[in-house]
Amino acid sequence: MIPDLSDPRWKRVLTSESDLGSASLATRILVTRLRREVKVAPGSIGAKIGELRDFVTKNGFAVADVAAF
Amino acid sequence: MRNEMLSPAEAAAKIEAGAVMVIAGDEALLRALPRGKWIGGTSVYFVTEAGGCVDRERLFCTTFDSATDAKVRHLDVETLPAIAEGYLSNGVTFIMLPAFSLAHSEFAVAGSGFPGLFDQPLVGWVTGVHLDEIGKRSPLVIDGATGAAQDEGAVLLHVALPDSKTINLDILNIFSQGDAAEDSFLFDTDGFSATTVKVNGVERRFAEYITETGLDPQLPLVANYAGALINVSIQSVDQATGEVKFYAPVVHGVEYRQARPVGNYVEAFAAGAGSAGEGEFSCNCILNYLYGGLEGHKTGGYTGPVTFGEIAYILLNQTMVHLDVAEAEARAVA
Repeated sequence: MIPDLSDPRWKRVLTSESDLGSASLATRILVTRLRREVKVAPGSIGAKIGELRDFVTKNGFAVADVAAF
Repeated sequence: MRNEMLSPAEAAAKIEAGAVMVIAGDEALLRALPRGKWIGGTSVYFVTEAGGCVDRERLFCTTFDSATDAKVRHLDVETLPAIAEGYLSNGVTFIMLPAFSLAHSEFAVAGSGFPGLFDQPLVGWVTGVHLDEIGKRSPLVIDGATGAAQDEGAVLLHVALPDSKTINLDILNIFSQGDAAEDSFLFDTDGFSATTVKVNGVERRFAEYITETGLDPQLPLVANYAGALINVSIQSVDQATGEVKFYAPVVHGVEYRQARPVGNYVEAFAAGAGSAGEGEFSCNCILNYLYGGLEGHKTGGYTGPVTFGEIAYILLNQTMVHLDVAEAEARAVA
């Protein structure tokens, strides 16, 4: 089950600097890029949450990564 | 997935039998192969089951025995953002880029923002030449479907696998990031070079800083990507112009620290690899081969080409990339 866009975990992972040690390499690299973009343009957070959720939706291996968010 | 050093005749026989392959080797050997479902890239450095070596007689071949479909593409610099448009269901995509090409630079700087790039494992490497031939010969990529060998653009092999297969792409980085007591580096812009850097928040000329502190350019700058350590290697330091060049781009807003020294690269790779590596594809950096004295030595159980840059979604430096394709049930049991 993938959390919907309003779930606080999406915003939390993109506005923190926490390690996602158990997450896949793809998730760690993508989250790092999205965090950087949110830092530069905080108003983009909604679009970046959408991009991250789309990624998880398309990649079965990333669903388990959400637990680290 | 099968990884093996083959003679040109053995590789050609597999191609003619319809095998789906990724092939690394000397330019002359690659040019002589028949057309088929394969891509190739130039490299004469390898880590084999016998250890690191230069080999101009054999080819390192990765064969996807269980592929259900495969598609070879060549993209030029302008169409590089369309990488993910060729992704196949439950697939993996191999990519090769020629060192020193515009495509190499473009992928390195902009690749992580290409649409859908992360939607399946993207693995590959930057092609090279013998170090004595830099500037005399061009690193090449070969589109096996057409036989075209090019020093620009990217070749891609999109592979579809049965649903029973799982694909695991990861990295083995023997370097660790210096701790908070050590200097941190922030760069103002993305790029393969920099003249200034913020060291602990204070702007400095980077070349001067390197000279003053005796920073060892063989040790990469390391960034923490949410727990994944990503290296950027120093290529050159020009005191006259103040320019410091890198083998991968530094990224604006990312904090780097220099890696801690690694005593023995061979032991570090063996410790990092553990019992893993057999049956997996890997590629490792020419700088690790050189600085770590890997010639004649193994890197745990991992074999593969030694390259001018490694790709696991993004361009990496001084890193081993490894790819495993396994039965889902086997992985669950393991």
